[in-house]
Amino acid sequence: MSEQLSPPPLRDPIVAGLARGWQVHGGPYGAAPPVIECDVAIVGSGAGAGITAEMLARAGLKIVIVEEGPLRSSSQFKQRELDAYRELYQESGGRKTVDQAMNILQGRCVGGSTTVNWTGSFRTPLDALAYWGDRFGLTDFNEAAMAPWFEQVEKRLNIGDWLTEPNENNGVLQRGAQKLGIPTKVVRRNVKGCWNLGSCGMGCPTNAKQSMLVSTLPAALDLGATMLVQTRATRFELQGDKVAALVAEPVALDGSVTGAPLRITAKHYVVAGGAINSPALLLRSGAPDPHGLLGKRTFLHPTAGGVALFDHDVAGWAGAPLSVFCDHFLHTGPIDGPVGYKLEVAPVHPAFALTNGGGIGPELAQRARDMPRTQLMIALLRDGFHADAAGGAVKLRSDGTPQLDYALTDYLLEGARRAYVTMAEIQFAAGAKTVRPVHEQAAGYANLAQARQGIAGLAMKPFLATLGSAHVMGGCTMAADAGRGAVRPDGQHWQLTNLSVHDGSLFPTSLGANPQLTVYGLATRLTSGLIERLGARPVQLA
Amino acid sequence: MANAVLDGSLPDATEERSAALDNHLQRMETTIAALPVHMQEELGTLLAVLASAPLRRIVVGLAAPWDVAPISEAQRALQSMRTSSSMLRRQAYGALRDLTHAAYFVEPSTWALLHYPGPRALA
Repeated sequence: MSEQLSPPPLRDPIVAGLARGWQVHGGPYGAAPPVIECDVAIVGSGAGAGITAEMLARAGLKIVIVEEGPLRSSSQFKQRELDAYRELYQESGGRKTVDQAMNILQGRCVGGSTTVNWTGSFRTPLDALAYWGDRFGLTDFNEAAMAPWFEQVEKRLNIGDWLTEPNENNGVLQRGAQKLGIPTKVVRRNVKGCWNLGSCGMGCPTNAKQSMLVSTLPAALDLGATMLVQTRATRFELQGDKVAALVAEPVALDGSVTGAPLRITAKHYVVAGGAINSPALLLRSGAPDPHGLLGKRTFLHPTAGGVALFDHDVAGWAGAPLSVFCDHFLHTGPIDGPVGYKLEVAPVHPAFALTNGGGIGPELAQRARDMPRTQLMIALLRDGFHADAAGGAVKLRSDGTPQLDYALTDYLLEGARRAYVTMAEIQFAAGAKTVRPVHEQAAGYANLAQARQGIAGLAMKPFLATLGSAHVMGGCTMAADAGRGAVRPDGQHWQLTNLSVHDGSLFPTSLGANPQLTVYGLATRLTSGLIERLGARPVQLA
Repeated sequence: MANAVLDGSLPDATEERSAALDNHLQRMETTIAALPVHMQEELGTLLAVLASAPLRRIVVGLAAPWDVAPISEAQRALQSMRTSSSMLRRQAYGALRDLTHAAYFVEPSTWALLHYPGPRALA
C-alpha cells in the first residue's frame, strides 16, 4: 500500500512578495507618504496598467501604481460569491447604468478585471480594426501592425487554446451549433496549469490564471515599483497643457475616505483605471475637452441571456466557465446593419444565476431546484457601429463618483430578441427540454415553434429584458485627430502633453469580443512608444 | 417582503423558516452596510417608499403593510411591479430582486435546495 501523499501547499505569490519587501502602502499596509515623486504615476492596476507597469519598471523607470481596490490574493480567494462581489468588484458587484436597467460587472481590486474575468483571450476582431481605421483614422492599427504586440503579450501571459474537454455548459453551445451547421471555436485562455475549477469570476485560488495580479504586477514590484492600494486617484492638478500632480486619497472598501490626501508628482502620468473610471478622473480634473468627447461613446456589449433545462445535470458552476464561442452572428450582415452578437456561456453560480434568472415565490423556488440542470447561454451585442448604438456617457454624481448614462435603444433590444431565438435554436438542437429567454415575461418553452411564437410576443423594454454587461469600453476615444477623440494614436492625451491613457477606454467602439487581450496588446504597443518618448531603454515584454 | 419573495425557497418548518429569515435579514443588513454611500442612499429612498403607506399603494400596489399582508397578496403586488408598464415600478422591482436574491443564495445553508455542492476543495 502506497503512502498517502498530500499535495504541496499552494504558494501565494503576493504573500511571498510582501515578505520579500515589496513597497506596498494603503489599507492594511500602512499609510502612504503624503508626498511621492516618481518618473511615471499609473492610475489603476488592471489590464492596461499591469502591462504598462512591468514594461516601465523594466525600462528602469521609477513608478507608482495607484489602485482604489484592495490587495487580495490566492490564499484569500475562497470561491464564494459573498466575499468576491463585495471585495473584488466595483460597487459590490452592483454597479449599474443611471437608469439601473443594466448591471455592470467590473473588477475593483489589484489586477482589476483581470483578477475576476473568465480568461477569454481574443485578438481584436479585424472588422472592428477596419472600422477604427475608416472612421477614426487609426489606419496603423491593422492586423499586421498589431500582430507583433499580441505575440509578445500572448507569450508573456501563456495565452493558448484550451485543450481540455469543455464543461457541459459550454458543450451545449458547441454541440447545438454543430448540429445546425454553425461554426464554433475553442476559447484561448491566459492560464498556466489550470485546475478547471470554474471559479475564475471569484479570483483564481490556484494562481493558474495569468492575471495582472500574479504576472506583471509582481514583476514590477520586484523591480522596485511602489503600489498604493485602497487609494483612489481623486484628480489631477493641471498647469497649462501639463499635469502638475496627481492627488489621491485613502479609501475603505465601501469607498469612503479614511485619511488625508496625498500628492504624487511625476514626469508622466498614465491613466488606466478602466472605462468609466478613467474618463471620470479626467472629468473630475477639469481636463481640456474642446470637442465635448470625454466620457462619450462608452460601450457595454449589452448581454442577453437564455436559460435551457436538460434532462441531465449540466452543473454549470464546474469547469472552465468560458471555453467555446460562436462568432457566426457577428458576420451575417454588415457591421453597421442590425446589431450582431457573439455567443458564449456564463457560469451558473447561485446568486448570479438566480438573481438574473429572476422570479419570486414558487417560480423562484422551482428555478432554484432546477439549477443543476440549467444551461446559461449569453449573447453579447456589438454596440458602437450604428447611430442607434452610439454608447453611453460617463457623468459625475455630486460626490464625484462616476455613473454611466446608457440607453438600451430599440435597435439593441431588437437585437436581443433575435439573439433569444438563436440561443433557443442552439439549445433545442443540443437536446434542451425547455428553453426560456432571461426576460420577465418569458415562460419555459417546450419546443422551437413555441419559443419563436413566445419570443415574438415579448415586450422588449428595459428591465423586462434582463441585460447586463461585463465589458466596459470607450469614453477616452483614441483617434487620428482631436476632433474625433480625446487621445492620440500613441496614447497621449490630445491636449495634455504629459498624460497618456492605456486601457479599454481608448476603444472607439466595442469589439465584439472579450476585451482583455485588446487592452494588453494596445498597452504593450503604447508603452513601448512612451518608453522611447521618455528616453528610457527599450524593453520587450517577452 | 422577503417572506413573499422567498416563499418556496425558505424551509417549510416554522422554526427553521423563522431562523432562515432572521439570518437572511441580517445578511441583507451586512450587504447594505458594505455598499458605497450613493447606493445606500438610493436603497434608503426605495425602502422609505416601500414603508410609506400611500407610496406603497402607488409603487407596489399593496394596501396592507408588509408584515400583515398575506403572502399571496404581496406576491401578486410584486408580480405586477415586475411586468408593469411603468419603468419606475419595474426599476423598484429590479432593485428589490437584486438585493434579496443575492443576499439569500450566497448563503451555504440555502444550497441544499439547489443541489449545489459549493466550491471544490483544493486539497
